[in-house]
Amino acid sequence: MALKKEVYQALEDIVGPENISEEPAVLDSYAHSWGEEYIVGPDFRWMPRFEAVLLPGNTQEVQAIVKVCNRWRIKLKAHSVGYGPFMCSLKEGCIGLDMRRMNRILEINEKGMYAVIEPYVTGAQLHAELMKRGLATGMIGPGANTSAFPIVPASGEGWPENAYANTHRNQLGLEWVLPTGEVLRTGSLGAGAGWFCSEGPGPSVRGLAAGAGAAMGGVGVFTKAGVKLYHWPGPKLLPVAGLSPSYYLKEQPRFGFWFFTVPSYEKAADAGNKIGQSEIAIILQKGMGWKIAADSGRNMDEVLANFREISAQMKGRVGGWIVLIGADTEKEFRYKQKVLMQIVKDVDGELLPFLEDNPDVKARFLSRWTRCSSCDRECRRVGGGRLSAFMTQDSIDHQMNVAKVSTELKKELIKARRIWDDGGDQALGNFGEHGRVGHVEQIAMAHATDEGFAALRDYGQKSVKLMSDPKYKITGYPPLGWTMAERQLLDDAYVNWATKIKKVIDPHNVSESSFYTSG
Amino acid sequence: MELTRIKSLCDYIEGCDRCGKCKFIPSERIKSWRFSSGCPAISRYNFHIYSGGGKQNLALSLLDKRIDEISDSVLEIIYRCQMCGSCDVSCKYTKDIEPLEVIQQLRITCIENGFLNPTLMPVIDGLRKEDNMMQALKADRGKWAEGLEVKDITREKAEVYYHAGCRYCFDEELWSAARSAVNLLKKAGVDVGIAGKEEACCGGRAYEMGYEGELTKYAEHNTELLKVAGVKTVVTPCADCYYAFKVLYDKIGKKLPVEVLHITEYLARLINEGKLRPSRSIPMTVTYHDPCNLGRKGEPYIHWEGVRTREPTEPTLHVPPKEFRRGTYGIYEPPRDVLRSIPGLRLAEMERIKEYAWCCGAGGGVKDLYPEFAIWSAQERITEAEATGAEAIVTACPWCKRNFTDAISQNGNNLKVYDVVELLNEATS
Repeated sequence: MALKKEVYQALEDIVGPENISEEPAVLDSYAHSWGEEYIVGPDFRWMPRFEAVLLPGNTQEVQAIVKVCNRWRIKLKAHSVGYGPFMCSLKEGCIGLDMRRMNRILEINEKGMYAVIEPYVTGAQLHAELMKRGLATGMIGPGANTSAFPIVPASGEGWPENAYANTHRNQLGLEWVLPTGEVLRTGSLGAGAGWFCSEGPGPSVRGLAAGAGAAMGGVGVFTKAGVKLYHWPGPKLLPVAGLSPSYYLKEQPRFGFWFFTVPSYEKAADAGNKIGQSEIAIILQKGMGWKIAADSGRNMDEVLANFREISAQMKGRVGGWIVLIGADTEKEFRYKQKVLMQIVKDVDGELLPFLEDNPDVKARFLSRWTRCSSCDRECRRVGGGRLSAFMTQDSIDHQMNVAKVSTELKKELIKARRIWDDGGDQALGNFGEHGRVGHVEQIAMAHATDEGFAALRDYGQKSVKLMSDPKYKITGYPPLGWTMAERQLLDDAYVNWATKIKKVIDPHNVSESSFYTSG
Repeated sequence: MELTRIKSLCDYIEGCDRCGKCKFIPSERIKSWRFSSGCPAISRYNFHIYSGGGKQNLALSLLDKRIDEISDSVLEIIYRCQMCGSCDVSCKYTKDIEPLEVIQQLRITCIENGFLNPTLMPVIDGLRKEDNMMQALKADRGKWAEGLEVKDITREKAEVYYHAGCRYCFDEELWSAARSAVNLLKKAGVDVGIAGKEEACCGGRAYEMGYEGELTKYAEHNTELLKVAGVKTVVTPCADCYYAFKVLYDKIGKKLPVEVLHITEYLARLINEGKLRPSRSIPMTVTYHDPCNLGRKGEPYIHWEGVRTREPTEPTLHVPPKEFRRGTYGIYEPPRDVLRSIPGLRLAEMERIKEYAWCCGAGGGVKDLYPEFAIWSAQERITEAEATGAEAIVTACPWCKRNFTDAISQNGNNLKVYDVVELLNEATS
């Protein structure tokens, strides 16, 4: 169903002919991403094509586009960098908004400790500019190459959230083009007082904007946001050295990286809680052997060889914690390191010899974790299929139970030789706000074939059934469900409420919300 | 459409997960928001299809027959790309796939299936008729060297063959650089010769435009020329020719039987051996622009033949293991060494250097097809050069020099443009 000529013309008049396309090849480049095979079923690889894709350059253009959509009852879906199937539309007759031209850092207010950014600013770009000023903020799970915009990420989890909070909690004032075309300015921005606060006057609408796991384009278009900033104890410029893909930090005084294993999930929870409560870490991440291996090799052969070595060193113990520590002074660094080592000792932890015996390799991790530039290495390096399941956001104790339960399910599929044998527990996730809450997802990988994807779909569906079974005691907010049916199965009330809210703010249902509600 | 070439790369094409890293230099290398992008095409045109990853999508779309022919607008998308390889090296920082090779094979597929770009036809016709990419007469090819008193390797023996390349042979405004190089070689006592009007194109630019047959033809022609002349070394001041001689000929199984050096490599060697002694001070701050074909694409070709496994319990492996070209072993230090040898000259580096250098904008046929895009790309680099405080941008390729010069001329700017050899020549005179 192509757009009517007059509709296309109306949209073209807004953004100009250079910034709109209905060329099928262009549209296909927005219909393919990792992960869609779990959503669209056996006919994998392609999601529905947008009817057109637009590149708006400012809020006024976004507003005008939304108004055209309302007038003609056309659905729209906006995305930032577009990493993940959530950028696509599940409905036919939808136009796509690629926010790439809205990519500016509008302000870095050092005194007020906030920045104002547009949706396409990446984590790496913002981090590079903030470091120069002794500042930092959160970075979302997919890594520094993805959007720094604080309410874009699913669930808000992100690398340095232990010190710099869940990314969605760093959202301050927000400029939001509602599905009706009105512009809503929230928090202090709405009161004409600047970007510094997300709340009030009056009831907060932060929850309406982001939902529990990000709105995924389902409630209009976010065009600017204030971002809360924190103190950065590191250098003004990353002292990166070495050759691709083995960059390392030449020196980063008062920064350290460790990975340690523990004998049980209970001990893992104990360690995570202690590290969180001691407030020593910038990054507190549920670690896994695969993650370390994937980041240590020049190619898959090296990665696999390293994985075998690491697995042997882990001796069947639980892949406990990855910890990044930074400090302003030598004394502070020594103190934090001492605290960490005491915790490791208290929980019968063992530092991984693969890292401890190889300072050069460790220096590579310091580089990647400081800029949060890893992620796709671990899961997609060879183009195999990957599915994360059991995605939950909850306390450390709860999350270690998730890791334990999900490992058992995975092992069944490994035993049946349907997915890659990665040892079972490759649960990853970042924990935030000094251990208060954290994210876990259990990744599984298989080849990008019909059989491989069928196995991963099976894994995803079984995980949902298992999570909805009370005997496993898995709770938490609804995970980022791969399909709405999965979400609904896990938390019918949430989806129903989200749908009601959506109906109020989007009376003509123009904002394509398949990844948000079933509306 | 015949898609065999693309199909053979299907594993790599499917390996793109749309992470978007091809649009930027690697995250750890980013020093500022302003100079964080890597790919001119996506930076200028913004739709995802213009990125390296977007081109992988396009290939997949063709393979899945969602698109059954190359429309004019798709052809435009394919050719609005300098083939600079920035996407390739940024991608391979984390992935084991081959984005640039897919883009190259897309272009060859276009030509093989008859989807030709009419604007390029006079260029290719000129190449076929006159052996050069400049739409000029072959008979005029040797004019740049008139009065130089240098050997003609088609008539006399010489140890070193100096191959000026199409741009330096026919772009009169740039002749001083081409001549400077010969003067320097003679000054160092090198037994050097040129081929005058018998010099022929390397075929590299035509290959990047999708004309694979032209690369084979000129690889064979140049091999024969060198064999007959009996030279031991071929030296070129053109990054494109260097890339063709050193990398592309090897890639297609026609590795030259002689040593291949870029002029900056040879000059650095001569300085190191004490045969050239730059003594005249040039009190100036300059910045150096790494040409794509000398830098990230100029590293040696690595052949690999084997299979990709699909064991159900393990990730895909290359058997035997495959070493990926990530641009790390390009020619980066020799031109810098030459500049550092010049008294009084101060080298101020830009943010994006070596394998992550922003393209000058002239490559892949863009200078011929989309001059506005070529100038836009050059202007981006000039802005970056200016940010260093340099008075001049120095490069080691005539195509870069031409495009920077054109951009400065069009946009108005005080930055000077030099080839490395020009500055060295001045410092040794």
